[in-house]
Amino acid sequence: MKKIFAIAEYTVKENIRHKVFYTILLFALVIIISSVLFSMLSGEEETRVILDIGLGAIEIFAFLSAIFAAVGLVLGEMENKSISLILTRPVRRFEYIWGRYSGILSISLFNILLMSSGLLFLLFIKGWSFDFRFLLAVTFIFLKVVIISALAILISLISTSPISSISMTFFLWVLGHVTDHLKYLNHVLLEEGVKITIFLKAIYYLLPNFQYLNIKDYIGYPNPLVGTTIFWQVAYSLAYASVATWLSVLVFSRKEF
Amino acid sequence: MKKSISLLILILPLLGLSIFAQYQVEKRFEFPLPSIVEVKPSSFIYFWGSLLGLRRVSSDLAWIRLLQYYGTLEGEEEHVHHLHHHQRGEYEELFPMCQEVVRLDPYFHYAYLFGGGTLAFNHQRYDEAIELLQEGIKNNPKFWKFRLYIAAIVYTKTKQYDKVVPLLEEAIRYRDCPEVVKIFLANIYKAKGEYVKAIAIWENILATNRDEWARSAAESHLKEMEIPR
Repeated sequence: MKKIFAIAEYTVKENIRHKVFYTILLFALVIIISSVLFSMLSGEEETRVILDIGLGAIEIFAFLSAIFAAVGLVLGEMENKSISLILTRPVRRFEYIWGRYSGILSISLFNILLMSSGLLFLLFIKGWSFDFRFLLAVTFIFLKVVIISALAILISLISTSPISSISMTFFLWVLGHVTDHLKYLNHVLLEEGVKITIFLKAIYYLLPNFQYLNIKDYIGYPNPLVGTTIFWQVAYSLAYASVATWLSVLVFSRKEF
Repeated sequence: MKKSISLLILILPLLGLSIFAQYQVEKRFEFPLPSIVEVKPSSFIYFWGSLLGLRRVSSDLAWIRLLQYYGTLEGEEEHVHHLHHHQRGEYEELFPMCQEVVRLDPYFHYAYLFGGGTLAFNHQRYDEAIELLQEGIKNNPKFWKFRLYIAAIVYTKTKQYDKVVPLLEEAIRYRDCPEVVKIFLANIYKAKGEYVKAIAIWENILATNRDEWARSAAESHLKEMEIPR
């Protein structure tokens, strides 16, 4: 456990030294502040627009910083062979992967908390009255990052270049938001007489499902989530991320440097 | 090899748990948004927004576009200012644009109220207004204000103004009441000769609203009633 913490700490420090980290954070804060400009065009719905653009910016930039960290650090280290220096020490491969992953999550959590504080400050200035669902939306943004970071590490271990890793992760991010369409596709295909229900179901359950975690998109839904649903959503996210991370360990343990 | 097998033994139950947890979520909670394919958005920006999980942002952008459209003079009358909206153009696209906003986010209450109020009270397009508000009721059955607006629109359509007034008086008490409803009620008061009540509404619009058109309409009405601002 100590070694995992040490690698996580090293990942956080390395990330903080990276210029990309500051660029992404700064850009996110600029977008959140510029949401005020958009809100001026939205008539009576100012706070709604600030809230939506703010939460959207938090999610997109948390996603970007997570994939850049996952791809940049893990794949970068393998490309410039500096990974050998770490692996020559008494660090087991699963400790390396879990350490890296924990570090990326720590930095993502810090990013999300910082951006959320900025957004809350802006909303309170505009006279917004606090809504508990804001906390739920931010928590679920973090859960999405928990999943996508694990997948980004796995993909960066499988693929050969940073560009292909980033594009594949981005592709999974998009697919994760439209998994429900597989049901629609199945329905259309059944009408056409094509029966691939089992195949589509398998894809449906294997792809990350971000739709249900995307609370910020249905924050106005009149029937709020109940405790048991939230419990299963958290369980899903943690289980899925664990599968992806242990698969990364499996792939990484078979690699030769 | 042994290591890989032991890892797979660890991964498989976790995968089972993730599938089971997802199944449990679906069993308890029906996904509350219509598919983006069914919505058929007019712009690829809204489509991509939805694919990236930014559906409400897409709805906000469609809303801003709607306000821009409705805030712009149509056709030949572009040199004329401070006209009533129905004199400024037909705004044929208003209804489909409202529909797009609320289909991207079916829980956007203000968009239904604004669209319904504007279509009915500014353009006398009562059927479209009612259709929009009925869609609102379908998606938000507990949001009672839509029923209030429908009643007011039906009475306006049948020119039963005595029945409209108490409904609109109730509607304007709420913070999310669109200006168009306040203006409509003030005009009814004015037509009925209840100038004190009409003046109170115009003054309220001047004090609380930032919309240039609503403010200039309030100012010109107050001027007409010889209340200098």
